[in-house]
Amino acid sequence: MSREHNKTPEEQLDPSRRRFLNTAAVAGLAGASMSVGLSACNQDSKPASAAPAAAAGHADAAHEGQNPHLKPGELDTYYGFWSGGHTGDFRVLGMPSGRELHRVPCFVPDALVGWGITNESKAVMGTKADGSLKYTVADTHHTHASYKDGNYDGRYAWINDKINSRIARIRLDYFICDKITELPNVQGFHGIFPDKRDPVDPAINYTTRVFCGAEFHVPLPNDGRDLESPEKYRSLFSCVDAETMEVRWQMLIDGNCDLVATSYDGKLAATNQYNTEGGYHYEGMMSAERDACLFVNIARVEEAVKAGKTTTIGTSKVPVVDGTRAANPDPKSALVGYVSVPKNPHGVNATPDAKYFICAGKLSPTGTVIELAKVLDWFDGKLDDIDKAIVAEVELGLGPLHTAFDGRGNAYTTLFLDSQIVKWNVDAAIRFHAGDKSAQYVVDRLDVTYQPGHVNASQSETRFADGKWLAVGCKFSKDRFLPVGPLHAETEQLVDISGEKMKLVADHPVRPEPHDFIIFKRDLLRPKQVYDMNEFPLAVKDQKEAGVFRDGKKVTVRIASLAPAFEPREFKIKVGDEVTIILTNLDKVEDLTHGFAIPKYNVNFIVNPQETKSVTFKADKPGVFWCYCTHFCHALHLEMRSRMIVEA
Amino acid sequence: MMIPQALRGLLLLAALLFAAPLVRADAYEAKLPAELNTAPRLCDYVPCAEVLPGATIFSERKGRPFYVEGYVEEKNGKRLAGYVMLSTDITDIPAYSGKPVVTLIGMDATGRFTGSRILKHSEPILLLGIPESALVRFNQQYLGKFVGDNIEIGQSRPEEDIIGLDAISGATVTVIAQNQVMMSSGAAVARQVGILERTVRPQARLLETGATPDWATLATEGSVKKLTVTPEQVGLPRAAQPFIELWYGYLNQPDVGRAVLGEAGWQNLLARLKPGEHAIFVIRSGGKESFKGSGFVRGGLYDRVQVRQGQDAFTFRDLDYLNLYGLAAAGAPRFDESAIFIIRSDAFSAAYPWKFTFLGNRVDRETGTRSFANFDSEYWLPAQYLDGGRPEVKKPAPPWLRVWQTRRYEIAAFAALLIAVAVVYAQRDRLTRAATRNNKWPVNGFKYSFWLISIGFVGFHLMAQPSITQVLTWFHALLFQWRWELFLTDPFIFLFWIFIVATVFLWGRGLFCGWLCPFGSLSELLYKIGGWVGLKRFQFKLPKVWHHRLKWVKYGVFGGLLAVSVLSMGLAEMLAEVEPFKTTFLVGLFNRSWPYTLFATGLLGLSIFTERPFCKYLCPLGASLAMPTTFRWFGLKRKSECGSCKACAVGCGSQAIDEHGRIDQRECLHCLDCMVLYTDDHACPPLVHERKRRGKAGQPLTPIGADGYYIPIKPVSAAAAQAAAANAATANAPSGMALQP
Amino acid sequence: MVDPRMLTDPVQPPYAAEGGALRRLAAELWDHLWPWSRSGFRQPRTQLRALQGAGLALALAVSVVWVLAAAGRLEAGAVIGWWFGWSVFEVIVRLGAKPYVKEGPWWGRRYRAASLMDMLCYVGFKNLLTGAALFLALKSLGLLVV
Repeated sequence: MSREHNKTPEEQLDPSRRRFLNTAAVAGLAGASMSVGLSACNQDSKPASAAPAAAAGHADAAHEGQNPHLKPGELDTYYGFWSGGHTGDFRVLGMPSGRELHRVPCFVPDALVGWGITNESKAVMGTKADGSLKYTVADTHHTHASYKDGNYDGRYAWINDKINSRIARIRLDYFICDKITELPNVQGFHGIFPDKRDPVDPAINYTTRVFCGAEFHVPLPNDGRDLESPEKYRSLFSCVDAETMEVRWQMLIDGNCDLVATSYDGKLAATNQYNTEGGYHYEGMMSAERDACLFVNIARVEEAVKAGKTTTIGTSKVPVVDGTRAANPDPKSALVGYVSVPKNPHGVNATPDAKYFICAGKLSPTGTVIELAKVLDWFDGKLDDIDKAIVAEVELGLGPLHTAFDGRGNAYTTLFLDSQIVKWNVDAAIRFHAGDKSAQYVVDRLDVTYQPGHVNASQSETRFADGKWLAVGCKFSKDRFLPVGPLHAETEQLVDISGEKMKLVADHPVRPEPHDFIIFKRDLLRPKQVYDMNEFPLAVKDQKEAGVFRDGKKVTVRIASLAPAFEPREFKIKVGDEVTIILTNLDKVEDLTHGFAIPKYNVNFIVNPQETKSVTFKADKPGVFWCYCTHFCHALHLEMRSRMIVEA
Repeated sequence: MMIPQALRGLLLLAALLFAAPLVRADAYEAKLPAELNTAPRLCDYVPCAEVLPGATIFSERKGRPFYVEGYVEEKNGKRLAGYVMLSTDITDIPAYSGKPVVTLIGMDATGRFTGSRILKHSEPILLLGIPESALVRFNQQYLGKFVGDNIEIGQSRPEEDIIGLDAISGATVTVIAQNQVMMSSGAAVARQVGILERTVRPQARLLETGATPDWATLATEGSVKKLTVTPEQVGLPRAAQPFIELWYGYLNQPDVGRAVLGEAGWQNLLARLKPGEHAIFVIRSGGKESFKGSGFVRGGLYDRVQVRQGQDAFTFRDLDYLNLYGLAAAGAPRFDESAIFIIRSDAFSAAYPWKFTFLGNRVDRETGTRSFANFDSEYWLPAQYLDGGRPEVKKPAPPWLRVWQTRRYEIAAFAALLIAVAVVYAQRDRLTRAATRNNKWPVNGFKYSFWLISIGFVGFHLMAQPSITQVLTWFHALLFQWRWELFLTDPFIFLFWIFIVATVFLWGRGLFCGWLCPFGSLSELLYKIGGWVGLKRFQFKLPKVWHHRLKWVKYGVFGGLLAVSVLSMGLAEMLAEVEPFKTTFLVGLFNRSWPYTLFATGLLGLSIFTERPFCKYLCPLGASLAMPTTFRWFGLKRKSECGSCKACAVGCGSQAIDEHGRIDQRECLHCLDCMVLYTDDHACPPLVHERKRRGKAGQPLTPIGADGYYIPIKPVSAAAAQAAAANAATANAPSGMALQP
Repeated sequence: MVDPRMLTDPVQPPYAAEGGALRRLAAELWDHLWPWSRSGFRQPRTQLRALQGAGLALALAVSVVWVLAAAGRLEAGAVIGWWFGWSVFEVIVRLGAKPYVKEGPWWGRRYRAASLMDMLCYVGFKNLLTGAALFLALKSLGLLVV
């Protein structure tokens, strides 16, 4: 115990904090030696900030803690899905080791797999009329996976692109992006959350919708009108179909959207609003003392859509319902309800007990607990004021942003300005808010380094939060890693939350700049080891099918790879041909991936076992071009080549 | 003691053996190239073209178990001619020696055998006695036969669809093993390449009981099983740690699957299984050896574990592997390697028993050569997890059982014979009383009948001549590896030995040697015939002094063989040719090279003129049985006059009665002549004397008592009657004193 | 006058007359396991014999072990050599100390003087049984690897 604490660089802590840790260390010793006397003398040095936790502290100090460091060959117990920020990717980490296992390219090109190079990936990404990619940048923030019965079901994950307002879907069997949808008439698409079941049909106990919140107000449609009339700019809340990835509907709202949460009963989706003012400079955006959390009554919205109470905006065919306050005066028929939340809230998170949504105050040091049953009562007309759904609004610390849960009734909220995580008890907060001033809702505080943004705990966003691990994405790393120049890695810190006290156990550097992430048990996924060849209509299923097929200027080269050779081993084309190369990897052995690079033609991509990919390019340079395998495959990997002979 | 005599005998024997132009076998313990078991290009090391005539191009080893494809070169490419397989790649069925006969087998593309070649064997019987060519000839019987046929050793039985093969006389165990090797090797390959249809087993209907057993319960009921391989089993020095300790079990069964994986884990697994697919888990709970190895990285195939059900072997590719994330059952052992393997075949059914096999390598500690060694454990889902319980499984009877079944009448007849001999001998007192010196037929009628049966039925027909090699084999089996199957494969020898052991302790070795040993019977019968046909005057006994020297030779022979067998069983088996049994009964006098024939016929010829020369002086089997005969329970009777009377001693064919009238039970062959005299009042001098005395005295002749005397005549008083009873009870009391007028 | 009803003359070992069946059984067991006897060793001839026997046995044992070790089977050789050597020694010792064997049924109490061959048969047979039992026990305990 005490040795663990010694690992924490104490010089970075302020004096009071250090004192606390010292005490905890002594308490740990006391706990270990079972000495009542020692722990008793400990009582009078109890620091104010540690609040009620200290009493329970020494029992807890005996808690052994968990080891995040794995032995060789040992597997992580959790998967972590991380957004990549403006690298535009989706990352897969093993937790608790924090080892990065995979990056799934989706919105932006990737040289390793040939994302953005192959015809198949271009089709997913979207191209301009000339076949070039429509976008090559993206900013991914939030990723969440599909649900069934309140837990992840391993089908899909979704991730947003804030820059170009796109949503991508990741198939979790192959860990590839298979669909990207661009949301119409929105900018700053930020929050995203799949629903957890259908609000009406009890048979649909799994995700069928994904809700998307847009941050920025823009003219509607944004076709050059109202450029200088910011008061006419608006924001939309969107619903995307989980299977088809079509936008089902959009909703015009007052204010903007930030993050999104959904209820476990499927009835409510919510988005916190930090710019209810519709400001277009930050001063304007933070002028109001209270902003809001917008609750959407899904069933009513879909009835309205069904009933055709919709409009469309510009060229978009997506039905748009009106979710403004003005259009929804009567709670009993309202599509939406606006719950007021103090000053520029950030983050809205559903508790694993399915009862509450918690909004963090950001510019207000508070956390707001909203009881969903009361929101539903308001929709039913049983509650006169929707703000009465707020069951707690308690002070947590400076700059509260995001909240995670341990399944034992505690919430963990990042305090950006305090560089802390505060562990607080939701029930105690509710009691405190209700007037029981003796209720000590803050359980523990932990310094993190530095400036934490997102936080999440293992299984936190499911009904099965297990309270084992907490990861926190710190925006600044400063001195935590070897310096590599001005650009710093971010610090993903790992906290053991299995005990009463939070215990920082590891720092993981990550390439900037992940935002949100989820952590869930490894057995919830069922990844496939190799592709199914039948999923590729172009597949060259046998080496005998390989060869050059010419149709005028259009040439198709069908290639099969089987370690250590490409078939055909050479092929001839002519300058001016439009060449399509189709490559199937016939190897069936797991992990036997081949690459295919064509020098001077700017082509490289990989084919995994049983996978087929294709590229199309113009043969504009005569000569011999050694197409070679770029992905190590075999003892004869270097010899694995095919000659592309381009005749003048 | 004539130890030098024994040595001399041994030297004589050795000279005799080595002087003979011996046909040394080439494949006996032949040194095979070390690469044979591992090299991908099998045919670089063995003559594949010889067993698959016409083929010139051979592939690398492929498949599981391994085989090689042979191709014929043709103008436009190559044509598949057939397959070549190495028996030890497929099965390790041991032959008589306990080691496999390494055979290279060829089979054409339609599944007909095209050839076979014995690369190595360790069969002593083929080393000497039966020429190796006999096994080659035996193997030639397979040429052109289809691998899917029911081929068995013995008679063809068309009504049962069984094709019979001629066995090799005297080497039945070897050929039964060889037949298994040929058929199971061929079938294993034929099934892989599609010549034989795959077995489709009816799938199990799994019963969900709702129980969540803990690990101990699972282990007790057999839902999870352990397989432990110790270091010494793979030729490594003994250690406290196992070489590898694995637990495994069948996961499709809902209760077992849930108990092992937990609800979520099991549902997750279920979601990944298609109908007809089966999942098993494997964990390593001890040892350092990996059950995954690294072979699967390149080839994609896990080469250290497999599942076998009947003739089908199921191996796992990398794609059949899933991570095992943990064991949910309470009390589950800690593990450091794990897997879920999926069997994707409808040939597998959990309703029937199957085997989980760890495929290891055994390193021979002397030579350092590696050979495949499989370690398996059987799994059968407990009945409570199967709807309708475990189905009845008709296990193919093991070969030894089939032998017992097919030869049941002969076995019954043989057993009856053994019982009859024992019963008759137990009644010897009655028989000897019925017989007289001049008419010994009441005894000899039985004995001669048994001789004839023994020579004809037991010796020539059943070829059940016990041999000293069996004693040596048992001695070694006891020490090293006891295989009941090996002994049971020869039911007659098996029964015979039970009889021998029992009767040696009861009465001594003379009953077997004198009444039932086929060669002994033949030998003495020849002597009797010689006497009957008028050769009596040429018949002789060795002078006493020479007899008492030479009788030790057999003990020397036995001791020598035993000592040699410790050094080399092979050499001991060779030297055991001092027994003419193989030549006489198993192979036939005229089927062997002349030194053997000469030796056997010489001994038999000599038997016409002197009684049982081999039995008396050379037989190591007799010697080995004579030694425990020292402690036989019930001996033959004597009376005190025997010390001075020489009547029996002179007539004793086996010269077992010494000058003091004592019978040496180690030499006595239970001819019972002396027992006939014992109660013959016209032959036994004390009785003759008493008979005459009573005749003169006008006293009646009372019956002869158990002590060999007339029952004394005396007035009956209670005390005297008691004393007489006591007298009769203590046979060793000097009963002559009771002869009171 | 020689009694022809036994191969050799009857002898009574010291314990043969002892009463209780259990005691006799124990005495007999002891007799099988312990070749020496106090009475036997009072005779100087026996002592000399035993000494000679020990030398002979040792020589035999060493040579068997040596031969088997040369053949690369040291562990088995050591056991078998020891067994051979001990048996020879025991024969010689017994001929001096307990020169009798049992006659007839094993449950009976008739004994007779032992000739060399009788003693060879007795010791050989007894030691084969005890040796095999010991060998199997050692093997099953894993103390001996063959």
